[in-house]
Amino acid sequence: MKDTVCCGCSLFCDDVCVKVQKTELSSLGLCGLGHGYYEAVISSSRLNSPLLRASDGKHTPGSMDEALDKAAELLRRSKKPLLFGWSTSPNEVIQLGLEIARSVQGVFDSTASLEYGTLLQHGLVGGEANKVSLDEVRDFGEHVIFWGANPAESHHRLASRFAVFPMGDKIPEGRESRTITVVDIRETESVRLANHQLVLKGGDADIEILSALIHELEGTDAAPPDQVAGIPAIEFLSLGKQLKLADYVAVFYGNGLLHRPQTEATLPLLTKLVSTLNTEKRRCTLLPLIAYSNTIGAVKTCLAFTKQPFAVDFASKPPKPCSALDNIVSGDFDVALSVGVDALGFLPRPAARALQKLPLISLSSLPSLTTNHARVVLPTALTGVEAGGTVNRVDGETLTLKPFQSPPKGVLTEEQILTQLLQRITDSS
Amino acid sequence: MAKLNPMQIYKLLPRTNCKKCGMTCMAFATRLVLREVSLEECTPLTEPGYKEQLATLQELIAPLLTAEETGIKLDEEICSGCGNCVVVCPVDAKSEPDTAYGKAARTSETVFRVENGIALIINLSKCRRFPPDRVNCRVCEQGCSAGAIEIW
Ligand code: SF4
Ligand code: SF4
Ligand code: SF4
Ligand code: SF4
Repeated sequence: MKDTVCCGCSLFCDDVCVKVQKTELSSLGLCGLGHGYYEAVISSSRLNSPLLRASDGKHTPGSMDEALDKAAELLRRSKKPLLFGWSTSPNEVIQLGLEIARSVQGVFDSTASLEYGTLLQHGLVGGEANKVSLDEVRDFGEHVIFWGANPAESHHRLASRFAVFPMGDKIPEGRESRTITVVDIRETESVRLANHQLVLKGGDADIEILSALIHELEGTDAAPPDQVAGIPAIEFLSLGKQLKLADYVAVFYGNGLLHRPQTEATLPLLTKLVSTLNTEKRRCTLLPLIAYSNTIGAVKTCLAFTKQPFAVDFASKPPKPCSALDNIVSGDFDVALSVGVDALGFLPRPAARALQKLPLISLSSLPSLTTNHARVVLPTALTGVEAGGTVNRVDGETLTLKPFQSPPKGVLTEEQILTQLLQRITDSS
Repeated sequence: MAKLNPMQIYKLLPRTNCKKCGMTCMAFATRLVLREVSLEECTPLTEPGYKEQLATLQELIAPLLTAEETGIKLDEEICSGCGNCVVVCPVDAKSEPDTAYGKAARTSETVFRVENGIALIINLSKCRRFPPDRVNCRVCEQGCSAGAIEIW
């Protein structure tokens, strides 16, 4: 068994081990999603040779040199290339992507522009409340709130490693020392973990309950309404009381709050709730539960390189922010490079449809919608298994991935491929 | 034996965390199901206003006093490998102390261990429900949000 860091989701669990024997994989500690991630190593559908689209539209295997030449040529000749994906790649790879974007004066964007953009807009990152490590939540998280987040189905081990069950410095009894609140509009699996189960009713339910809670915390003489968003007064009053008693409140939020028509109104209220709870005697923290493993790394690396978190256009000097998604839809690009993420599967339909029409270069370990449509497919080593690097956990914590076996013959790491691509592009200019 | 989970109990307690019983209401609820504390220790329940809740509580815990045949089943089909069971099981905490702090079980000493993405019961006989302990522990069932663990 080899110790490893799982790249199956943004928790990057580092207490797990795996053994790979030709066609057999065994693991200890990995959740189902994580084990599934490692299964790519033994998968029979693994991409193991570069593919080039021939004139009849069919993919034919080519040499790595041929494929790299073709990819370099496409990027070099492009008037406006898009370099998209990145959030499952280590930071070193993202850095190379930015360098390539600079040398071809293209647009660099990661999946973070969809996942993270709204948060930035609403100032939900960078503040004191957002500087919180998961270890801190494990050690102090006396009251933990999941709002529109369903970690039991998205971040399987969040509850057991950090947020609900483990003992910690100020959490002597584990689960019993914590109060858990789940607020959602569906009765998710995570709801079952909670002491306070708030399954809301009505379109503006989040707004109503957030306002009522803030009101309650700020102190009011007015008699409470009988119910708010389908939650009886007694329930949310007791939640308010528990929150006031806590010394530490950790709030996690997710897609249930982010991608809804009411998001513009709910996010400022969420911030207000957190600042109301933050007092001299109580710390309240706020973290988004982001899905793609290295989204935070993609944001950090892009910020360091361009002062922008994502979506940067290198055609201007200095590079300026842009809306890559709008650019895709309006057909501004003439070539796209997709790294790691299955861009066609991930993007909203209109963007995916527009992207599909372009000559695509795809870096991927497994076949996907994007590789199916790509002009050039470059097979890559599996991050965390055959390729190493630096990544950032969902809370920003830096982790180092150490490869423990070599990729299949004919397969290179993303880092090697992009280094060679950059070389080819700069050599000829 | 009647299925009883601490959350049912918790909802009927005063939920003030007054700590007259020496712990929080949630801790009290859990211990009550384990038969480690008795209902009388929550003195606020005898205060006015809790009469109905007290009666329901007494009814609920009555079957606990006669625990007999028992077993645990883990449905591998719906297990997500989340590891909640590993972390909450008090036996695992003793056998491999790091698990209580959220770490994956890596030895062969625990009751639960997550292998190949699925939890397995590798030492059923260590479970506290069996002799010599015979306590009415249900914390793994309670912590499994997927509903994969069944205890009878
Ligand atoms: S929770 Fe995420 S990082 Fe941890 S084992 Fe599961 S998939 Fe891997
Ligand atoms: S005595 Fe009763 S009300 Fe007070 S903390 Fe204990 S269980 Fe809760
Ligand atoms: S019932 Fe048995 S296996 Fe489950 S937590 Fe209790 S001791 Fe562990
Ligand atoms: S708690 Fe349930 S779902 Fe999670 S690992 Fe244990 S049996 Fe599987």
